[in-house]
Amino acid sequence: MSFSVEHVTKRYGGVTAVDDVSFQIGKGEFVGLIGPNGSGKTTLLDGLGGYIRKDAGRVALGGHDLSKAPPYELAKRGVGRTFQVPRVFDNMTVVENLYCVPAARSSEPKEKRVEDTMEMVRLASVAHEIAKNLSGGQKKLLELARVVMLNPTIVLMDEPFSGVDPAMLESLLGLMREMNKEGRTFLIVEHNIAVITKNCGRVICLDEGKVIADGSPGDIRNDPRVIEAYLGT
Amino acid sequence: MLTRSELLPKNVYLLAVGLLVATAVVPVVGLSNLIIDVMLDLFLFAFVSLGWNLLAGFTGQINLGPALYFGIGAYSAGVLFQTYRITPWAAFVVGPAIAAGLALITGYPTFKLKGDYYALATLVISQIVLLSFLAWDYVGAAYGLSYDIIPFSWYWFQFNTNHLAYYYIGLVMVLGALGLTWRIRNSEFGLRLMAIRDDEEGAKSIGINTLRYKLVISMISAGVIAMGGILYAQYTLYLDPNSTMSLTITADIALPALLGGVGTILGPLLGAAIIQPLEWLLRFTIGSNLQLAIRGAIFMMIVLFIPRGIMQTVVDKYIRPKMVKK
Repeated sequence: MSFSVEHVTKRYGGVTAVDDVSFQIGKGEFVGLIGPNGSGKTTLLDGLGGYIRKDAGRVALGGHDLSKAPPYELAKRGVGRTFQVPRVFDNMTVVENLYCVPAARSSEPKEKRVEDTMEMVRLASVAHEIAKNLSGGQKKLLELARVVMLNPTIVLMDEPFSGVDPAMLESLLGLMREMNKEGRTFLIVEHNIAVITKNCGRVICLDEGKVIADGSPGDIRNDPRVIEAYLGT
Repeated sequence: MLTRSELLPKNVYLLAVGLLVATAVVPVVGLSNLIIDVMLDLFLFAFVSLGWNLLAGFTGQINLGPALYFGIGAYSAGVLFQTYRITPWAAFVVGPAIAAGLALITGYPTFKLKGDYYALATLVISQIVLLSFLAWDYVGAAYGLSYDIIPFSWYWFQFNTNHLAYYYIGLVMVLGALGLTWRIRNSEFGLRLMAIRDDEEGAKSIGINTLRYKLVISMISAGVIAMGGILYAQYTLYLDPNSTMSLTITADIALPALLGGVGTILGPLLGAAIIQPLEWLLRFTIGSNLQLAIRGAIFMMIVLFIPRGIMQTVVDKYIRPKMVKK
């Protein structure tokens, strides 16, 4: 099921934060979205996730137009989303954070899904801990676990590895790879270029709201426009 | 097997319900009318506070105009009886229906407001309705509605010669509201409400239509508060806008939950069990005027020392750590 982004544009007053961005992501692709600060990565992700109204453009998943769908509708249609600062439900326990996810896209019993997901993300030992007491990395795991509960087709992630120690980074990556093996598509905004080039099969680079490069990690590393705008010498 | 976590060990809930059931037996032994009236106030304000807690506690939407629904419940009973000579029991259908309808109509635009602006909007709406009732002849305007007194009648919902009937009705209502709160707290619906309270954008990201959830729970909350207004009307047998829809009533509704623990099942009951006897005690010792000052002082102490209320503070400090260790 491919995810297509066609001519998406978002303006704030006189500033065009996202400028006529188009790309298509095939089923099971693991795509990195990079670019300098202010290049429009998060704005694009917010637009794709339904959090901000796009001024122009079309977003579709498997041919279904989702351009005007609100975030909860996108989630039901299989578009999962994580945030730079994890949006866990602070005053609820870890297990409650998972139970509250609507099970619209799964016929499995909720208890079993929660149990399996807890095992998968290795948070079972803190199942009854209040989410606000978790470490930053555990919160990222919990947020991803909620996305797992959604049974998504594509996952949009905003800087999943920022502020995460190397061991937790490996845990997160392992979980993402596992999901990817199941055929789930990933679009990841990230500044950790080493992680992106090592793990993503394809990288898209934005600058000043425009796609300046789109290709394999090797191509992106050697692209003079990317070097000039983002990577440096 | 994993289970949904609970705030308190089950024994605590059983103890609380046991205590409430015990209060059903106590009057048989014999209680003075004064104690019965104090207990009735306790039941009434625990009930409406439980209703307010459904929206404010579980969804984090602080409604500063719950007195509006309380007044609508009270007036629905008063108008049905005094104007149309229809049994006030019918108000248990009419009152909550009107209140829920109003919650839906006002909730649709106001729930799009964030945080304090929502609270302010509810305050403004309740004051607009209060002012409208003060000028509306159909409901007796500022003079209010005085009931024709009937000594004791189940059909007319008046028990002036023996307040025990009100007492038992109040007790049943509190048990019902506790049951409803328990049911919601332990359901996926309740968990989603709490998710909205903790992070609305996060809730949307997992597929929760937050506006719809807020509207549904606000309608339930309004309906419950309206039922409290009906009991109040049948007990006092006199209604005017200031005694049913004012900010004082809003404080009476919200304070028990704030003191006992917003977002907990037993918090509003605990808060009412502290506040109502205290208010009666103060009424007889220092008089009514200082009561408002005392109420304000209680509110300030809550904000300063236990912003999450007694129950939540106890849970966070003493109970939750033990549950996590297990």
